[in-house]
Amino acid sequence: MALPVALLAILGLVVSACGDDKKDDTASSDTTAATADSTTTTAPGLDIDYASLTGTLNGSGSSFQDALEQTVKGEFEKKATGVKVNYAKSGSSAGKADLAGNTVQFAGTDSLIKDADKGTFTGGEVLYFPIAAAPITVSFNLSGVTDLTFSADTLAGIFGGTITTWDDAKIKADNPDAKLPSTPIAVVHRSDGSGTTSNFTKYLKKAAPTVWTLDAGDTVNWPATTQGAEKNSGVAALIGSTDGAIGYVDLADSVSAKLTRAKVVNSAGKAVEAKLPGASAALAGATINADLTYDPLDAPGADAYPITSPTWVIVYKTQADPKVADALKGYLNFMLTEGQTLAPTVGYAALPGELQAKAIAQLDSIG
Amino acid sequence: MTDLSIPPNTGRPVTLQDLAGDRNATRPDAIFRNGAKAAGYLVLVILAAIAVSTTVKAWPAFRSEGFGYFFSDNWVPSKGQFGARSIIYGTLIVSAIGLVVAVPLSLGIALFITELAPRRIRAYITTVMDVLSSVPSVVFGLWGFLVLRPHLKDIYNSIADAVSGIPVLRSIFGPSLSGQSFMTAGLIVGLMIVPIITSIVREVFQTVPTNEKNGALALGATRWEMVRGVVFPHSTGGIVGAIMLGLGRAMGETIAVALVIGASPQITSNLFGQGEAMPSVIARNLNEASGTYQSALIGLGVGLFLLTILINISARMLVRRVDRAKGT
Repeated sequence: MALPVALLAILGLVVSACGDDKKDDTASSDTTAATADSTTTTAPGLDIDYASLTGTLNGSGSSFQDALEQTVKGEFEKKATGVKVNYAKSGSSAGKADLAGNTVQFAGTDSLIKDADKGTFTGGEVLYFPIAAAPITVSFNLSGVTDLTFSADTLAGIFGGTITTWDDAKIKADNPDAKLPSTPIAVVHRSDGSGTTSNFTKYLKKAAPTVWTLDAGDTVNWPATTQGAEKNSGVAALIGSTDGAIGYVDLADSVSAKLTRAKVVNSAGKAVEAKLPGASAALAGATINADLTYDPLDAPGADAYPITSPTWVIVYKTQADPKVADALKGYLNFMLTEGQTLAPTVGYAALPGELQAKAIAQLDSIG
Repeated sequence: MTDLSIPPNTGRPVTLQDLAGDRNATRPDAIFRNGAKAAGYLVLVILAAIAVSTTVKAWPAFRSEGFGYFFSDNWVPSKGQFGARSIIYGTLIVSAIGLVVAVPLSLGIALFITELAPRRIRAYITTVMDVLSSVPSVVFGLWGFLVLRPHLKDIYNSIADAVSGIPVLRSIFGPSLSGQSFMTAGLIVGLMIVPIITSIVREVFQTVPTNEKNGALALGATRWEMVRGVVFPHSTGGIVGAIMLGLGRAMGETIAVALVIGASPQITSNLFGQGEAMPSVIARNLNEASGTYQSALIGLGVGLFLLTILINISARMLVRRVDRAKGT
């Protein structure tokens, strides 16, 4: 009878190992502690009677903003009892396609609509509502080393495959005090198409234009010496179990996998930790366009964390059904006011006051 | 009702017509025959329909890349370049490793079950094999990624150290960065196809006539000589068939391979290095892909299809040649 027992033990191992991935929500405790000063002046929202709203709002898209959508919609539905909000994390590209095809009322996206695709949006003008931002961490696992700083050029060298060992002169130059072993660097990237990859490579392209030659996109032509893993959690798990590994992971997954996060040198020359205040500072430093799109990557500002990923909710300006228009306004208004207080509890940086006020002002044009 | 009575003696010779009996009586037979025929042809029709529709969907990629689709290895979706050679290479290497692991193991288990094991243990092993074959592949994949891979990494690197001075082995067993590799994927796929191959081979071994086995033993053959001289020759076709089924599963295995292969398309002789396989690429990227990228991914499916057919046909030819050589 030893065999069945052994099998059970193996299964148990698998289950517990899977569980490890997201075992405890240290993410929220760590990040909230770090964001005491990130709650900037809160602009008052529109005066909407949530209880009077009715209908169903369907949304899909960015998995990056999913945790925020789920938290905010739960709170929103408590106040707006007549409204049901659904959000499916199908990926930014799928979300945009769904909105273009009119199968959802709103979509979540981490990237802008490409000029070539604008014609497919049959419902007319699309409005961008920034809802939050979050840092993409550079997480690593190197025995005996807990504190590292990288410049953009060094990161581009590591992820581009030209820097291959941890005692490389460029890494030493960034970290004169660190004791670096000669361990080979195992570079880990996302194996699936991902907005995180897109924003990380956009950052490298922008901040290290001479060193980074692989362009930017949801997937890029990674050198053969690097390797991929599934989703943020897979990348985090691979780094966590491999000495000498480095990769880019969103903050929540990096924290829950208990990884060590590097500081990154920003455009002002200061090494900044991958935490929410740095992300908020990047938002404050970014140039906001008239349509509320902006690029927080490598944004100016002494405290700005340079690899900060934006995320938007997009909706059509013209709504055929006034009830849907009101419900949308209500949900977005809630997202932009109370939602901003909830954001840091689930690992997102709240919008700076000015951007928040602009987004709220844009709500009136829905109708 | 079939008319079984003797045709009345009419004085003329009995014709075939008379013996055929009542025409209506053959109707159920005709229904059965046509039904079975339809089912048989339906398989072919479905296969052809899949082949045609996937090829049509993949056509934009084939057209823009030409033969380069299969023979160049620059797979860069962001630049619209689709050369799948390194991905096809990965699938072949992983499947080959899988077979090298699974075939001896399966034959051994099957022989043990049919020739050596006491009845009680036989039942246990059969049950465990059945359980193993019903474990979902994602469980194999997660176990491989989370539990097996970190250990394998150390083993790989100590092997790489040990052979670092030997010319050919050095390039086959190179260092591993994280344990994600062709070898890890191959080992896991090998484990996954052991139950399939074992259960078929076992059935085949059981059809070997006991008299011939006993005869061989009576002539003074050892057990191994008996297996080699009687069991194997009797089962060549069945063994090849079982291996082909296993190979089909190995080549098509998606999620378990996707989790441990490392998602880095490259052609390298280093089995401990990371690579990429065709089904994994499709599974990971299809829901985010559009346009030519989507066609290119479907094209990988077409490639996989062709590869399977090619391997099956060559296996069939091999079996025929072996049988002819034996003079049966």
